[in-house]
Amino acid sequence: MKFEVPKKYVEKFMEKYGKDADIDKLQAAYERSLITHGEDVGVIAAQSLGEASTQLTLRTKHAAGIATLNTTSGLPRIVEIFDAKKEISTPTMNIYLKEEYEKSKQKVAEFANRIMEIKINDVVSSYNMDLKRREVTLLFDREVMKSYGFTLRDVEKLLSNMKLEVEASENSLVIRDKTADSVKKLIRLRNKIVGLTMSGIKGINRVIINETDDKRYWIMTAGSNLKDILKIDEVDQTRTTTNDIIETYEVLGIEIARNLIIKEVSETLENVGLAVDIRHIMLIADAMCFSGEVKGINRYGITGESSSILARASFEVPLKHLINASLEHDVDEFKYVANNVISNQVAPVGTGSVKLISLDYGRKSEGKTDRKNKEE
Amino acid sequence: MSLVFVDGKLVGKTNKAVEIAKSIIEDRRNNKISQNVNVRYREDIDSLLVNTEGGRLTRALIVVRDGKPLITNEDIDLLKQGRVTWDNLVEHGKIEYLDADEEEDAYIAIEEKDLTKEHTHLEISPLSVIGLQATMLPFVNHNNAHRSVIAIKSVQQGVGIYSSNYKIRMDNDIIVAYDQELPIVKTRIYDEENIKAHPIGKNIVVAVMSYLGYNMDDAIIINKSSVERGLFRSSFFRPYKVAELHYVGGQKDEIRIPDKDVIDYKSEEAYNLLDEDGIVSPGTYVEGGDVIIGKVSPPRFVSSIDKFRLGIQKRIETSVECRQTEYGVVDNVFVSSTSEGNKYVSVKIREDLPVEIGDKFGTRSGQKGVVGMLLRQEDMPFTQSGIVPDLIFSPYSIPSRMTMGFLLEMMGGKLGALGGRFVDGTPFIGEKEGDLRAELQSYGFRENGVERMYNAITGDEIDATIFVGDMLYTRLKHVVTNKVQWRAKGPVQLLTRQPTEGKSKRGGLRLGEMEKDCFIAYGAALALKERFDSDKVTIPVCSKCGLVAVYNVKKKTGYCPVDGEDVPIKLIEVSNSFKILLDELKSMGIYPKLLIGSKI
Repeated sequence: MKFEVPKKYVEKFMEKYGKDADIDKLQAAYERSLITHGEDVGVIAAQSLGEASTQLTLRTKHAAGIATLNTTSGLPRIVEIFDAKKEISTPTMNIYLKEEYEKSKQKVAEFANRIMEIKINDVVSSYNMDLKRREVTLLFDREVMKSYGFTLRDVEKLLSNMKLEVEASENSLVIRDKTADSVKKLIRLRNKIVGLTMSGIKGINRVIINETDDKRYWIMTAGSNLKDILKIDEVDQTRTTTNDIIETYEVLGIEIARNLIIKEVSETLENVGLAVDIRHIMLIADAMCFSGEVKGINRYGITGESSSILARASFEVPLKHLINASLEHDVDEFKYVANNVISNQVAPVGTGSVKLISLDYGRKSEGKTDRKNKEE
Repeated sequence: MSLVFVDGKLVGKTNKAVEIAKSIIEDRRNNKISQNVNVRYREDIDSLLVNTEGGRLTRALIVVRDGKPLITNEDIDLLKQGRVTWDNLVEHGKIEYLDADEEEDAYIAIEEKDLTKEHTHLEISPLSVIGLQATMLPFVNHNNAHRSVIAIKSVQQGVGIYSSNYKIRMDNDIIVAYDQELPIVKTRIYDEENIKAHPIGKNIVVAVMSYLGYNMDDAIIINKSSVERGLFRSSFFRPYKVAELHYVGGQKDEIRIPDKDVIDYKSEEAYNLLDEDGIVSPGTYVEGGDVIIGKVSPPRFVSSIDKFRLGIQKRIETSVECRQTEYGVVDNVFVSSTSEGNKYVSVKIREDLPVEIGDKFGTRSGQKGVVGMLLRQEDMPFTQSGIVPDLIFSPYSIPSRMTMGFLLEMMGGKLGALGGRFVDGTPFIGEKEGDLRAELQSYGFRENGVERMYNAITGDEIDATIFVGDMLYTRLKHVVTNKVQWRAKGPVQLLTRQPTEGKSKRGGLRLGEMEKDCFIAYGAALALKERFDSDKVTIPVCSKCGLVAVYNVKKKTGYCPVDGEDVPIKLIEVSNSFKILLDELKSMGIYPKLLIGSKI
């Protein structure tokens, strides 16, 4: 079989070796680098990553006392990525500003303060609840409030949007809600008020300003909100990233999410000193993303969508899959490895992926192993 | 006010806790109160703890006053003459027993020369900082502590004469090594304890070198000729015990040669080894499967058919057989009775265990290894004086483990053998390295113990000088003959028809999930199918309804219980476990229909 070499390689080849170079050599090199037909790349990728991850310890590095953010690393992070978790344990963002801002430390710091989310809870020193009068009293910490540049007025203004009676005194606010007739409701009210965002962008809990070698400043955050950050003018959209894959998928689309999976996995492995070929990671990222949305490698994700009933049943919760298959009158085509191993047939990988048909003497060879399909 | 606890119970309060503690200790030393009372004042919880209970661990120490031990050379002389006893010294308050609590308040010097005015006690011997088992290891103070732990573990596994009356004992899984010796390099504890009665190991000539590549890593080469002369010759004993049980209804087991009408009767030849009383006689050679004790029992259940049958009830054959993988000579037969008065027979089989490739050997320095090759004497290297080592040990085992005690023991063994004396290898207080070197030199050897050696196969002189010496090597209880397991065909499990698991059931080794993945990763799909063929079955399937049909192999005809005889039946080859899966699906009420297509 002859494979056509993609044009971009031909161009590069010409560029490097001149126009008279022997194109057959490129052809041979290209064919040599192709994966052989029937090679089970999935198993090889799984083994390559699985072997490496046995060396990952659950121990995460301690970063106490260092002015950086403690992000999940090692095996827990790998599991998190491959499971396509909706809420990851330590979301962080790397925010870069446009060139005109990023050289000034002051401007970056100003920006950082602006995006950091400040909740009412951060400026409240204590609170009281009175069920009899159906009111919540918030006592504010003046100095903290001042350092953030707020006044009591701002808080009052924020609360005026809600249908509540607000009474301000020198240092405190009394909020009255006539509908709050139980402790539960009162607590809910208090949590709602305390959780209100006064300034900044929702989800950005901490900001740290980092400096590059050429005196440019960038911001690292704890907490992630890609959508709102990208809306800000100063932000350089081309460089700003988050480590939340699902969020990236929702904001920027599947291709970016795929690239982020590859980047996050290979960086995590690199950090613990493991060398796994990037092609294995790329394959897994492709498998997670090819349907158009990010799916984890678990029974809710790509494993659960395998068309083979037996392959699914042998993974997790077999009963559910078998009963559902029988209700839906499913057919198992027996074209995966798992079901062929269960029924002791030749699995269609490697040497099993070719079939020899002899038509000598006008007779078909009698196949010993009949291919069967299974219907439930 | 401090609290006072006696044996953990609060009894009162005091203002003078420290004084009370002092006076209790003083009274004990003056023998006014029991020697077993210990006291401690704990500042952190302001309590006085007095312990008088039995079962506490206490240890003896020499009392020190003003930096001087109370036991003088005079006392030691009197003790040697027998005019003073240990108890006298304790009564006089020169030696006292401390428990864990009081030890916290004591400041104990390990050696006399370390004593200062602050010290309160002195160790009787520096040996007491390590345990009894560790003191049996020579020069442990030169070894890594971790290695000493390993050494203790391997000494525990050593085979020797575990009990002087082993011939009449019926212990399970026992290996006895004959002709064992006391080590040349002893520690003082060997004289104190009765170790002479239970020696483990032999003093053999060891060369530290690599030879022919058969002693890589922790492997060792052993001189086959030495083995043939009886080195480490051992026996394995396996007792078989049977009692004649009495059952409800007056029936009981009988130990005798089974009659021919007994259920499960084997064959006449099977009982050939048995004597008239139904037991093999001592000296008989038996192999796996041979009947050792003939026994018949009443049937386990009185079945309904038997009620209508006339005559005597049939009995079952319940003889005891020799284990499948074992063989040996009947060593001893005992006939006695149990406490209930039933006849009790025990037969002990003795199996010879000569040294083989794969047997494990250890030293007292935590250097243990497996025999990699048995070489005849003419193939073993020899020294200038013609000494052929019994064992070759790899030099690569030394640097990473830092067992200097190993090297010192070899050196001590060498000069002990030359001088005809025991060498004192007691930790801390044994003979010193410099003395050993000097003495070795006085016998005409190099002081560092190395010798010029010759390759026995080529006759060439070996470039490097080789460290040769004598040391105690111990055979460990892990013996290949008791561990090897193999099978080609063999028993299968009833339900799954897959091979059984485990050595005693002649089982196979499982090709597991991850091994399966390796086959797939190599693309060896057909090889994988063959590996899983152990439980393959051919089942007839109805091509209409897709369920298992009935097929007559001889007539080559079949029918489907659902669709009758007119439908074509197809034979397919699947694993038995898949067939069980189909059966179980059917039992769940799921219809697993097999659609059979052509292969092409």
